[in-house]
Amino acid sequence: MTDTINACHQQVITLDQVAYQYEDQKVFEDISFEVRERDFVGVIGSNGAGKTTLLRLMVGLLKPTAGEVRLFGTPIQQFKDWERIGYVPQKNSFNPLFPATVMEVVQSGMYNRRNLFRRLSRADKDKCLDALEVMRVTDLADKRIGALSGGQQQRVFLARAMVNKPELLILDEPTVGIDTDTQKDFFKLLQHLHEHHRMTFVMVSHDLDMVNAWLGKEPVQCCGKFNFYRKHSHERECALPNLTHSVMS
Amino acid sequence: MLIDIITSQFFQKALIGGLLIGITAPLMGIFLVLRRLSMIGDTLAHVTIAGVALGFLIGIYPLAGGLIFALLGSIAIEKLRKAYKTYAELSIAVIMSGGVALASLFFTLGKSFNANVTNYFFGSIYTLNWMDISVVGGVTLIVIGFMVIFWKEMFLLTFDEDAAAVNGLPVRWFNLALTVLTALVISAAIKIVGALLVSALLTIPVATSLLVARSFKKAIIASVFVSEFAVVAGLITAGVWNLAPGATIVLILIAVLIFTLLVRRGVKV
Repeated sequence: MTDTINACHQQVITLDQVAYQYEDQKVFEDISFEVRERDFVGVIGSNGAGKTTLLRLMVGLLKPTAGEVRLFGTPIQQFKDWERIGYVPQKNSFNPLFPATVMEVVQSGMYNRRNLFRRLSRADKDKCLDALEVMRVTDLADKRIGALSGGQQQRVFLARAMVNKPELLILDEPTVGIDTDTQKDFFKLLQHLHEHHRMTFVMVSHDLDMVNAWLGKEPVQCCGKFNFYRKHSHERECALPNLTHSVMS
Repeated sequence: MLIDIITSQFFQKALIGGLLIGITAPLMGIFLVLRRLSMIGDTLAHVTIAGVALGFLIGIYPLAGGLIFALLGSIAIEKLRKAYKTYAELSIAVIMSGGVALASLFFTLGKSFNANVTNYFFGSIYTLNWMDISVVGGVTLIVIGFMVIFWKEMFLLTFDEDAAAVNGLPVRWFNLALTVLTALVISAAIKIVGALLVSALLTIPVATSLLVARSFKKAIIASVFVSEFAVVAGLITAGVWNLAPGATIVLILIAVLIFTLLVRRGVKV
C-alpha cells in the first residue's frame, strides 16, 4: 500500500531555484516548487509576473538563466518523453485565418518524434476521434479552426493536448475571453479529468476568484510574485490505471 | 499557329520548366506566407542575382553562383532575425540592400554580361537548356520528397511552432531545412520567371487558395492548381501574342486572384 502511494506521489515537475532574465531585465529569480503526480496546481500572479514565462520554462520552450527544471525526475535538457506532456498555450496564439480544420489541428497533437517518419495509423486517428468526442467537438471536425468561438477553440486545443493521453497537462490562462457558462463547463471537464484520470495539471491564471473557488483559499506556497495553489486527487485510483481508459472511451 | 508553337522544342522546354516550378513555388510559398515571410522571396531573388552576376564574372554555371548566394543570404536572414528579435523585417531589408549592392558591383566589374544577367531579372523561359531543366527538375524532386515525408511536421511547425517544440520535434532542423529549400526554389525559379517575379509565384497562388480552402491539404492542392493553370495559360497566351512569358504568367495569376475575390464576394452577397 505504501508503495502505491509513493508511486502516486512521483515528482512530475521540479523547479529548483529557477531564475529567468530577458536580456537585462530580471523576470523572476529563486523559484522552487514541486508538482507531484495527481496534483492540480494553480499558479496565480499579477500581469507581468512572468506566468507564461514560467510555463514556457516548464515545457522547455525557454531555458532558465539559473537553476534547474526537472520533468518526471529527469533534467529537462535530457528529457525525451514529450508525449507524456500536453501543453495548451494561451488563446489567440495562432493566426485565425490559417487554413486548418479542427481535425487537422487535433491530429497535429500526434506529430511527435515517434511518428516522425510514419503516417498516422488507423488507431492514431481513432484516438483523435475519441479526443474530439470527449471534448464534445466531433461535429466541428471539418470546420476551419478560426471560424470557431473562443470556447470551442479552447476545447479543440484541449483535445489536441489530450490525444496522447498525457500524464501532465499544462494550461496557460485557459478561460480568458470565454463566457462564464462555458468556463463552468470547462472546469467540470477538468475536474472530471483530474478525479477520474491519472493526470496531473498545472494551470496559470490571473483570476483569483476562480482559483479560490476551485483550489481553496490558501496558497500552499508563495514564491516571488507567484502564489501556488494545490489540490490533490484521490489516491485510490492510482492502483487502477486502467480506469483511465475506461472513462476516456 | 498555336500548333507550331506547342510543337516547337523551345516551347516544350519552357512548359516543362514552368510546370516544375509551378509545383514547387506554391508548395514552399504556403509555408512562407503562413509564417509571414512573404517578402523573403523578393530578398533572396535579389541576392541570387548577385550570385548569378558573380557566376558570369568568374565563368561558372551562373545558377550555381546564384544558389550559393541564396543559401548564404537565407542563413544570414535567419541569423539577423535572431539578433533583432523584435524587428524581424529589418533582417530582410538589410539582406535585400546587400544583395542589390553586390549585384550592381558585379555588373560594373563585368560590363559585357549585362544582357545575360537581364535574362535572370525578367526570366527567360524560352531559352532554357536541358541543364536548366535538370536543375529545376532536381529541385522539384527534393522539395516534393521533403514535403511528402515531413508534411505533417511542417504543418505543425507553421501552425504552432511552440507546440512543435513541446511535442519534441527538432524545430531548429526543420527551420533550417525550410530556409535551404526556399533558397533552392528561388534560385531555380529566377531563370524561368525572373527575379522580379519570383515572389509572385511563391505568394499569389497561396493568396488565392487561402480565400477558398478550409483545410491545409486543400489549400496546398488549390495553390498548386492555380499556379499550374497560370503557367500553362500564360505560356500559351505569351506564345500566341508574342508577349513576355514571365510577366504574362504573373498577370494571369493576379487575374485569377481578382476573379476568386469577386466570386467569393458574389457568393457572400
